[in-house]
Amino acid sequence: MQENKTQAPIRVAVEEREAWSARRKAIGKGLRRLWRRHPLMFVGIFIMLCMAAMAIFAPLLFTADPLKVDPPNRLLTPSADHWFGTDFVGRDVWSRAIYGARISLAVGAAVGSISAILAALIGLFAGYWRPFDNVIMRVMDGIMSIPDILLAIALVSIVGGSIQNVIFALTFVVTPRAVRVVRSQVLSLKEAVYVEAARSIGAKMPRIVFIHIFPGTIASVIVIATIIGASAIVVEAVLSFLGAGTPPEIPSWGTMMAEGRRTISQAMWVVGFPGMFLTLTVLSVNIIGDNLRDILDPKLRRSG
Amino acid sequence: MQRYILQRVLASIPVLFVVVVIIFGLLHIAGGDPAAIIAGKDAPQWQIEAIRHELGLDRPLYAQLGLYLKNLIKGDLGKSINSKIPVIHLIKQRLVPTLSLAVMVELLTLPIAIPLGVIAAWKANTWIDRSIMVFASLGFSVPVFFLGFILIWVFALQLSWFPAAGYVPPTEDVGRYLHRLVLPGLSTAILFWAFLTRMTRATMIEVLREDYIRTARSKGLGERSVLVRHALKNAALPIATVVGWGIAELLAGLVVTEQVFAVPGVGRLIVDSIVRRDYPVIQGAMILVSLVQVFMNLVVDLSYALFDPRIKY
Repeated sequence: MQENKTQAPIRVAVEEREAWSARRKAIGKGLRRLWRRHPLMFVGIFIMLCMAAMAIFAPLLFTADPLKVDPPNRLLTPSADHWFGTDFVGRDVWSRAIYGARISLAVGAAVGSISAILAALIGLFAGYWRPFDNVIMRVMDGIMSIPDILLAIALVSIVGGSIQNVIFALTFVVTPRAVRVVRSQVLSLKEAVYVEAARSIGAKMPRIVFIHIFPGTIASVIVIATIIGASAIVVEAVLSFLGAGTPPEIPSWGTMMAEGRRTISQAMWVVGFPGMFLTLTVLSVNIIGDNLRDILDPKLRRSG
Repeated sequence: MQRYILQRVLASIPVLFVVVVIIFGLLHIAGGDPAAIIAGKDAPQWQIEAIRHELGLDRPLYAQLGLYLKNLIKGDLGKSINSKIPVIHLIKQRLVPTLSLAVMVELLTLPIAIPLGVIAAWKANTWIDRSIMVFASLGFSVPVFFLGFILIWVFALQLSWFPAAGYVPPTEDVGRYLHRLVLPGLSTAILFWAFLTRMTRATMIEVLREDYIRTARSKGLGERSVLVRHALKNAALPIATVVGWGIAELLAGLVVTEQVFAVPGVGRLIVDSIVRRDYPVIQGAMILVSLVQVFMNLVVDLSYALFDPRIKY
């Protein structure tokens, strides 16, 4: 008796440890397989993490006040004092670029996630209730027919340039595309045998839609959210570049490049570094999206 | 078949209507009071009222929309607030540079993108395919305006092969006209190149799995003949779709290119009008570009029905 009492906790601990190490092994195996099949995925995640770290730790990483104007030191070449040089009024390009990362990533993440949630709701609604489908999809088709960039510029010029408004405008512009994807998934899932089975045992509408159909759309919603996030980052930069985006006093990559273009013949670095960051960020999101699509949703592979 | 065409044409009418309503509504919210802008800063109230009446702005919104739609069907998009020139004339003036750029982009894209896509599909999952795809991802991710700057810096400022910006009408000097279109064309073409290469590869991979390709190979045809005459021919339709889609998308995408390279096209007209708050011009140009998009979608859909005998309606 005495023995058993002392051994029971030990046995539990041993079992727990074994379970843990088994799980660790399984995770390790999964990661190794991922590494073998989708090596680029890790490159994408690595770049993304670097950019995110830069954005989050910008207050620790900056070397000069990103807003401080210093005309005597204008257009300095990159050096130990100014890693990325200075712009046409002597502001430090490195410090501005890492603060700019905050805008781009915030806009990309916000637009990607908000439009994914909206698209899931609208798509489920339109796909399941036929009467609404026609009306909703014509409106979505209408919005999609207006070129992205033009609609975004027009919206921002109406609501005024602030980060929240840019996020709102971009979400409005890109959501219809995601709605289309979700809706087409709902339309096919609706006919699936297991949904018919649920219906035949008397499941009610909300249960069918949210418990049975919704999970089937999650994979494509995640994939579309990354693709939308990437294009939101580009369009935000384009808006700021055209002077119709975030307010010019906040450093963002698009604004920096618009300002840098005047001095491009003397100082390519003012345009080059923010442009490089922008390209790397978009590239990493695209790589992650591509690989996620292959992993999560082989059916979507055809579309591009 | 004829019924399908009719159906498809009719189905695009509500879309057009939604487009006009959205743009009209948005710009109405944004517009402030065009009458006050036209009358000038110190105009007396009665003068503003008179202009409002003249423009029909004192009528209810739905009546204004109805009037706008009626004029739109007649091809009248209203007049610019700034220059008083009819919007349709302003757009016509800017059409040649934009269309030239669009054609230049397609000329630079097609002869490269399609062969590369075919090769990538043929050598699928080898290092050749992977490196083509890496370049395509890169082309997909470089923003057009950043690429434009790189091209300006390398080819205009360092090598002086091309001018950095500007436009020469073809009526003035054809050689210089073409010369100036190369850099802007190239900076936009990369995006389409990336897209078209990926599409061509995806379609070709699917076609190459078909039985008739195996038959063609087993009867001893050369690879080139299999690829071009059997596979590419059947992959042509989806590829053509992308090209059609690209033309519509281009007209809007050129907004950025025209800004970077100072080309006086439709995109620049729209951006300039937004800066000047010239709402009739913004409205007219946006509606027109959207109409082109709806029309191209229609053409693509119909061409599927016309050219693919397997699709029956």
